[in-house]
Amino acid sequence: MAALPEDLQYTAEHEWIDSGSPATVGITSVAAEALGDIVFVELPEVGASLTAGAVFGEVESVKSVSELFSPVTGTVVEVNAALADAPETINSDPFGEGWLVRVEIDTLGPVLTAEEYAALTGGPGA
Amino acid sequence: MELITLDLGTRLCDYEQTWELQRQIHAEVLAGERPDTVLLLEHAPVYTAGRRTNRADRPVDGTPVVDVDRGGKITWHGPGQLVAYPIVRLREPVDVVAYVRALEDAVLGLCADLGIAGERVEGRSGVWLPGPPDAKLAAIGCRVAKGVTMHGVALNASCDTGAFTRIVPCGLPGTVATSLTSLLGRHVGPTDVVDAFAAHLRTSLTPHLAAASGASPAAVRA
Repeated sequence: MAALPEDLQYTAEHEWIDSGSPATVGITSVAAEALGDIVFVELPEVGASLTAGAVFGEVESVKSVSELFSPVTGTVVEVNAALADAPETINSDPFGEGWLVRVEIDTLGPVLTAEEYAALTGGPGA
Repeated sequence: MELITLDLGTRLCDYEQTWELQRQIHAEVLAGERPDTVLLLEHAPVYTAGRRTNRADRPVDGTPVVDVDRGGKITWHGPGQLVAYPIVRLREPVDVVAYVRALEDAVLGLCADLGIAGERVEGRSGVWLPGPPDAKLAAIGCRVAKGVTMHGVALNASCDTGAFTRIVPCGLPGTVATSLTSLLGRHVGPTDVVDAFAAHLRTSLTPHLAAASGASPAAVRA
């Protein structure tokens, strides 16, 4: 499992968010490994409003659909269109090319440091 | 974990009504108002399709299909098929792969009891009898919402597998469906295997649950 980048923040629902403006959101390596081979991802459209802690999309893997939870309240300004044809990128590069959406943040929800998230999940730290 | 059979052997459950029941139980498990629950039942005949189902996989004769929010593509449910819907809170961090494998383990355990050499197939979920053609004995399609599961596993016990010939089951061309009855050469219906299957489900699922209860493995009648 990939080490957790220290420059990101994390949620208990296994999403990450960076400090950019707009901010990039994805799922962690912990989640990507636990989901298995991702075959489909449903994401909001550009312009959609997200609410911190609320569902903003879904991923499908190994015959199971799982929900994605937004770490922020804000507006989607970009969606990773490449995932439509290559959802497996989330597995292979969850902290990089497998990003999900970029968001103009109104409010940041509850987040964790890499160390706190590693403690929560029992995974490797940064 | 509470195992509830919905009039198994005497009533065929309407799919959409049962789906609504799943949603109600899911909300109650999520709120901590009821224990982990597994529904065991037979459906009235119906095709259901996950959102990735291709148009070409659907019945060519216009037979109605219920579009559902589980994983997987298209399948059939109906008389003679034992369906299990575990609505359970998974241990954190949720491991979806392990959960699906646990459902497969329950079917494989029952297969072992019956002397059937069921197998997993790399890159697919469910339980198979190797071919050619590969024959599917049990199909799996789940949903995990806020750490609590829905939908589950469908085991072909004594069903007429001809219903699967009108679709591309699970979107996998060149595969067929089989049943316990076909494999054993004698009638094996859902009521014949429900208690053994319930016990295997309890054994395989318990390590993956946030909380485990110590109730008896036999299915509760409802």
